[in-house]
Amino acid sequence: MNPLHQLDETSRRDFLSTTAQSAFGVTLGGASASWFSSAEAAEAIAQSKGKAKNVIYLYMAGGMTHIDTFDPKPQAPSEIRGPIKSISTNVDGIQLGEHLQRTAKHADKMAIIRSMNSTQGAHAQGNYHIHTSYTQRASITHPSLGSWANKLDPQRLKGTLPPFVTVHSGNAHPGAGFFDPQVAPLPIGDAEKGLQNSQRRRNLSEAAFNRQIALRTQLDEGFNAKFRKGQRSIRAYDEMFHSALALMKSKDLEAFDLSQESPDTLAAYGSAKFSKGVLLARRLVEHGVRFVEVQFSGFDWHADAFTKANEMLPVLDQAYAALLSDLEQRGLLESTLIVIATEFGRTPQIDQDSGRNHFPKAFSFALAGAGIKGGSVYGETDDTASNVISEKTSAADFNATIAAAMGLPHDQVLYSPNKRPFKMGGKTGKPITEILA
Amino acid sequence: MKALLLTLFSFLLLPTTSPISAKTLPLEIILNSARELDAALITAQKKQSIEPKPLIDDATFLRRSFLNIIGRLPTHQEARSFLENQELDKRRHLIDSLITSPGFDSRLFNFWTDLLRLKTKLDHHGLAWHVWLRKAVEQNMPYDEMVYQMLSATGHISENPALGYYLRDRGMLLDNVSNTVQIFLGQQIGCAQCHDHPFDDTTQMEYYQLAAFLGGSEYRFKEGREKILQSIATSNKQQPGKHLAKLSPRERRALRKKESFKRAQKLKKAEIRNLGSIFRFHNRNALADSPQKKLKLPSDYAYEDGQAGQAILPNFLFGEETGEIPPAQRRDSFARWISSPSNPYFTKTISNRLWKYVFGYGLIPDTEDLSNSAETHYPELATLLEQAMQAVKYDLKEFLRILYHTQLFQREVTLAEPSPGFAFHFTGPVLRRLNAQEIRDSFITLASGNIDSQRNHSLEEAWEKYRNSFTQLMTADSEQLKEIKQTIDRTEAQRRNFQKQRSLLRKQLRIAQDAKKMIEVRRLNAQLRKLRKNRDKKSRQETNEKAEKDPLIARVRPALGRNAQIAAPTHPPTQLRSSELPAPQRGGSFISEFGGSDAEAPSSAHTQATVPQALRLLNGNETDLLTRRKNSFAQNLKTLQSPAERLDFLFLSLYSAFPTAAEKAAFLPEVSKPESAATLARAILTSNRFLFVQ
Repeated sequence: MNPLHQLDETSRRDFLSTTAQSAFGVTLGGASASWFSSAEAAEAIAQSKGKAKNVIYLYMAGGMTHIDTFDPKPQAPSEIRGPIKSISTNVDGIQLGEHLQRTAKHADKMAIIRSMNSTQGAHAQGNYHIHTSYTQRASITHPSLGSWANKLDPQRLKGTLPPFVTVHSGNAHPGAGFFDPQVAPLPIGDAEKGLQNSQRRRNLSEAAFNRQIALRTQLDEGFNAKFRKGQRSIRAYDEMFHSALALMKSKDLEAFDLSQESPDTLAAYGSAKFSKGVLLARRLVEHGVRFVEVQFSGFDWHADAFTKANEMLPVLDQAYAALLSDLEQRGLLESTLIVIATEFGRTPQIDQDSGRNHFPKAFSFALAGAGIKGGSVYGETDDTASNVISEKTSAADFNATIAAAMGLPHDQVLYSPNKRPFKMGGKTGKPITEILA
Repeated sequence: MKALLLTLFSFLLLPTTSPISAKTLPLEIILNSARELDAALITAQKKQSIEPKPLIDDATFLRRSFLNIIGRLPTHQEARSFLENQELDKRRHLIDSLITSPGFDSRLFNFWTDLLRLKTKLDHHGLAWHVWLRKAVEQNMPYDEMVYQMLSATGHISENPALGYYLRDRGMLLDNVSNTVQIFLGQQIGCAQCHDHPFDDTTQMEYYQLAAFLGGSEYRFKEGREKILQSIATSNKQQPGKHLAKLSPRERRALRKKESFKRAQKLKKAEIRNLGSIFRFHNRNALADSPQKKLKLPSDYAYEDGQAGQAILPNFLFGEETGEIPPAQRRDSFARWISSPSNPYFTKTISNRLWKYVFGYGLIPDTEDLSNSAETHYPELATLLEQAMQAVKYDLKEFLRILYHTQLFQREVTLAEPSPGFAFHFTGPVLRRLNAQEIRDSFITLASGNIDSQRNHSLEEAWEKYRNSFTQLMTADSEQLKEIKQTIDRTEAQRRNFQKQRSLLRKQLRIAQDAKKMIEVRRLNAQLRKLRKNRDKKSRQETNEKAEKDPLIARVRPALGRNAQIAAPTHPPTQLRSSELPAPQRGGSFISEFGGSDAEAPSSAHTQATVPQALRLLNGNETDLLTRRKNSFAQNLKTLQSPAERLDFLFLSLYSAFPTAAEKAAFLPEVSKPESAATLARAILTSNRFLFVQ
């Protein structure tokens, strides 16, 4: 059930996703070409009302508490409500946890979903499920949202910047799953450092560098002739090598450089690692990257939940609010969808270590910006935030909603190399039309 | 199959008084066992008309052996000496000499840190566990013993550093249980934490029954309180109640009613509370079992076989009858059940993991989930493997030695990757990319030569320091304890003061930001920086002064803080194998970028291609190792006069092979000058042939 942990030697993702190709003699490039020659799909994209050309997906790793953030219950008993008070927002009737005071001023741009529900109560599985719309299986790795978006609409693949970037994401990220490496995310380990090693070494002449590139091909002739056909991992390295070369020549490299931001902007987002990631996401989107995911780790508050809330929620609040203001000022809010997601919520009942534990039965997500009806709340939990009482929403529904906001066909079937059908919105996902603008 | 058992059993019949791990098995036994494994595979393959791959040449064998046994490339001298060696059984000798070399421990240790999710810098227990685990690998502690020691550990890390296993998941008992079952039994029961498992048999009740073995877990350092009580008792001769036992019940009652007695009691309680803060961080590094405490069903338990909040009695997930277990023995029974040879999954899981460690793919494909994985196509072989593991009594070095001595280890890799859902036939091992540590360690070997025996002592030293200061603390008398407490209070007061000032500044900053007063924002940011800088400076100064004036404080300080104080590595980074560094390496580091474990989930390391990896191999400062003058690679290259020598050197160093005639024809012109040789070397570093091991 949790079979997709990375292998220590052969990458599970690699072999799961692609090895069947050799069995079927399918090459992925060919397969993808045929998918997109489908008139149906093209029409769906053309006719869609999707406004979100870009997505900034903020992922709270560890399972963010819902009751202390987007689904406060001021009337609940204190052992459930906890010490965090509720505050009003700029939309009548919408309340948030008190740490989200700046976010509260942007509620008119947001749609809060308070009826998220899943059955995946462990981190790896929950993370996987939210990112892919599917549950983990031994036999396949499903692609994550960013890869889906670029697969369904491959336009941005033509640029020199990769169309999907993950910032601070852990090894558990499902990446491109069974899709080809073209739509795999470019991982940035530290936003402040940006994309490292994108310049030729100073002690190396251009001629020597070019010679080096030519020699590589020559050196690999025998090796590639023998293995390239049957081994996707080798094709993936060639692919990444050529992307790297293209990137070195890209005019857009400055997108990765936070030092070009003014001190005021830097200060507005905040100084935490996550804040820098969010700012980097804005720069990347500005430069045409379609999907940027930024991870904020450390939400697994089994003990001392409220100390951690004091440390972490203001960071989220500041960066998120700064992002919305910044995008608005730059006129990018109309074309950028901002998502806050997590693997599950946390138990409303506070335990003896003043912690909250894993709670997949009810949790909250937030959408804002392009394609979203601002100032809305969708779904509801009971008085103690323990059960969803209306508009139960699955990861698949949520992801179908993102697809719809982007104008992508959430129910378009794409086949895995071993000929199994999959959709961006999972088996059953339906977009939440109520919150789409 | 019988033959293997005979071989191994005949060995086991020998009278042995010392543990097996202390000596090496005779080569003949190893070879016979390896032959049995090969025979079982070939027999099964024959039935399906599957041809095994031919045997590899010396150069491929050399590179594979170094990487798969000790986790790095051979040096050019090591490569040359093996390739030019004419002895018939040089392959066997190479295997055995690599297995007994320190590089063997290095690679195996990386395997454990990834599987067990070791975080060296987590409180003090991370360091304790790291040092313990490293020693266990070095001493080749039998696997069942190692697992038992970790799973039965309680108390404080100073006596029981294996406790790091449980403390890794401090406060997350249920998660810890599913990790334990995954790591040691290859089963996934995580789903059943919240609901009955949808595919397998595990119910939520069964999950809780298993977790109930650890239901008494309390993350408390009990000796700390005892120590304080003791100290108060000895310091206060007039202490009320001290002679209570000698009094008659009536006298006792009378005494208790006295105001002076009550006051004294109150004072005593305050004193306990007061001194208690000395041990506040020790609670993070200790685990006690409370016999009264029981695991209860969650408040949203939804099945008919139990009620929310109901206390649960421990019960094994499968296998033997649990029977009545006294609370004091719950943890021990759990540890024994997991690590018992009669547990059907214990041996299967580790032997399958190690099969993958050697050949690149599990005999049962999914090493993390045996029951949800397609059945192996070689059940007899799987059984043999388990029997071999039991026969060597969980001596992992000997077990691996058997695998490395198989013919399979000497066959060509398969042309196609294994594919789940399709049978993989092990006609040869799997072609794989070097893992993150293997690439880094190969680079380092190029720069510094064979540095496998170089150890980073800073970890052990930090741990020793902690232990010593912990002992000092626990033997301090009551006056000393008070003195320590005063120092802690002073530091604490400073910290509070700092935090107060900081939060004030931050508040002002927020207001200024919202009002868009940018000059004010900048001023406040500068103030914040200054505040932080001053604090660091001040605390350093005080530490030094204090240490001079008061050796006691200096001695106990390492045991008072929250985190381990680990000094910088004792050697430059280019002279230490990855296994010598704290785990895991942070995001953006070489190891992390090449897919090294992030220690979040068991076995999270991967070898997936990414753009930053390609950029690093092209432009990273690591590539300078080829040209940096003080590095052994550049030095060697410089001394070579002829192009032919240079090409040999490059190929031996990077591909572990002499160039073929065709390669000579193609690349000799490239190495006519040392500078152009460096260009060829850089090209090799980015080539697939370099990044993958056949």
